[in-house]
Amino acid sequence: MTKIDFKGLFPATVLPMTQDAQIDEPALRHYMTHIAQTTIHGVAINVDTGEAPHLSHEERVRVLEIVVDEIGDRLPVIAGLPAQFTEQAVAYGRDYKTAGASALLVFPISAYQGSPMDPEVVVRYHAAVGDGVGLPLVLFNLLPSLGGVLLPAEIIERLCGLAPVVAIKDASFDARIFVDLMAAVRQQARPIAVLTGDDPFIHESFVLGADGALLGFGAVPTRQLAEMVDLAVSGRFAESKVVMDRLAPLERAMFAPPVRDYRARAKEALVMQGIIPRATVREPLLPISPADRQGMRDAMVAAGELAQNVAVG
Amino acid sequence: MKLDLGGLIPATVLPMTDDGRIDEAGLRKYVRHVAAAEPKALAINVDTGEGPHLWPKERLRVLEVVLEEVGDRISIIAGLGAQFTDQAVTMARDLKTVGVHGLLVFPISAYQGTPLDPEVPVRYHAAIGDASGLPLILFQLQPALGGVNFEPETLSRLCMVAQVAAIKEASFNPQLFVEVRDAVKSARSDCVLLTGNDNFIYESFLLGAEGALIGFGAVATKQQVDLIAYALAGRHEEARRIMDRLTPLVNAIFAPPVRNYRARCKAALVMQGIVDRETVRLPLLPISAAERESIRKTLIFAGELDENVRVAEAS
Repeated sequence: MTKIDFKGLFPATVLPMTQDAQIDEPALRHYMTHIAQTTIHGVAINVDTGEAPHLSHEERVRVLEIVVDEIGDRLPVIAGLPAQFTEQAVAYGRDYKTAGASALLVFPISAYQGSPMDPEVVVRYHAAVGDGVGLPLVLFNLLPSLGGVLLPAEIIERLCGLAPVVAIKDASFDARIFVDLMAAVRQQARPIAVLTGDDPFIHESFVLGADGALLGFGAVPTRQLAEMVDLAVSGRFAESKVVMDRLAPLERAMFAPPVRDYRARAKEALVMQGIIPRATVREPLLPISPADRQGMRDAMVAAGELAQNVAVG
Repeated sequence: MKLDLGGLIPATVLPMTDDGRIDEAGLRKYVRHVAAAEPKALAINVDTGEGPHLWPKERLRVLEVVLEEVGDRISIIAGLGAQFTDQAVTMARDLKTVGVHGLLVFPISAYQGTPLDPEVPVRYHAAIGDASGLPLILFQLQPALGGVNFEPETLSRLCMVAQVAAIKEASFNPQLFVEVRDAVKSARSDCVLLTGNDNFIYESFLLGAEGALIGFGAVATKQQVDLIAYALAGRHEEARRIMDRLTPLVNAIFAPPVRNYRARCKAALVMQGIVDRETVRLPLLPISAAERESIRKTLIFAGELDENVRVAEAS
């Protein structure tokens, strides 16, 4: 695998499911082929958008194999690494490497919780995964209310010193934290890519210096969002802003409270576009309401993602 | 057997070998020791027992060992830490097969983000209850430790899930504890209110707790059994006296960073000669000499350790 070019969009993709909430392999292949036709720089598989916390490890491996088989010759495939403890993370990471992952997005673990955070716990966890698996790592700075932990600058600097670390996804949802994180990463001797995962300020992230974007929002208006990111990366902010302004209401509709429904909403939008056959999510997630569906439809039309006169089934 | 949860339910530690594996001989000896204090039940494979850091097969093995050793004398509650409904159902069936007497149902990540549709936790618990037929203990855990505080309406609906027998309340907030008590008791008066608040164990009983499911119970078990028996009998002076003796120890064990409490509990048990080593599994790390010294002093204050015992260096 060639070096990953992080200066672009990495959509976190949804997982199409059958009516009984199993992996819908033909639909997954079709969906991947569809989004691979845009200017994205890779995909992020088995993260929250793809319902990875609700898949068994064996299912995550299978999803990865299908995606790598379908588009792995064209695009890097970043795999989410959700684990509970060090030995498990290494074992899972090795399986994802065997399945063809290009890099791992390392999810925070419950042992980080409680303050003060011990830098040793976080650093040793990533070091063990890096040493034990042998894939490039993407760090993950995630808002506590979404189950993550915000990593203090001191820990980020130490993590950036680990050889396998190539990028960091920031999902602090806080511009001040994002700016501080940029500063900490830019002080590093070697380049580490900063990927925005900050849905509330996607466009502004690039004005603040982001290299790329790893976003669940990318699962739906993939072409337009990739175009927005490409424009922003080349500093054409006036043009990127126009695209982002068109997409912003859709982003707000998709991530409206309760945010857990964003996976069902993303699938509903893709069903409206005819890209996937059904919006089924797996329990404990539940289907969305007709009002929620209508909100997505209106936002899709406003974003230019759906013709006004398409009837919703 | 009818599950009696009205008293102390210690969440136990898991003794480990030098390389972080299950120390079966050490586990047998330790649970015999804890059971001898006659708590109401044991909570196995919860955070205190490093449940989140064990493989599913290891969790089942721990339960087999504990059930073999003390399952004829004491009820065994298993922590059920899953990620999604199907997985929880499969695990619950396995736990039923192994022979546990009840389940403590951990919150899942899908609860995060507000508002929480009550349907999400209600359906999750109902699926587990239907599949296993086992009594369930609800678990309200403070967000800083990865849980959620449920709305009163959600609590009421959860109490109506047929298999629910009790709630462990661990908001660490006395006001929320009282709100939970009221919501739970008005929905189902027979739902047992268990405190999980290590920061106000004795006071929980003044506020209506009927039992305690706490990690602190892993050490000084006998004194806490007595403390709760006194508190439930309204003999508050005697209960208060025990709590005063134990407070420095509970504060030392749960001092920040709280993640070290498992290693600290093991350190205390090593000093008492009850377990062989302090080893915790990665990502957890060993504690410092200063933390160990603080445990030693507070154990002595609690009457749990002889002043003249030399504490061996951690292996």
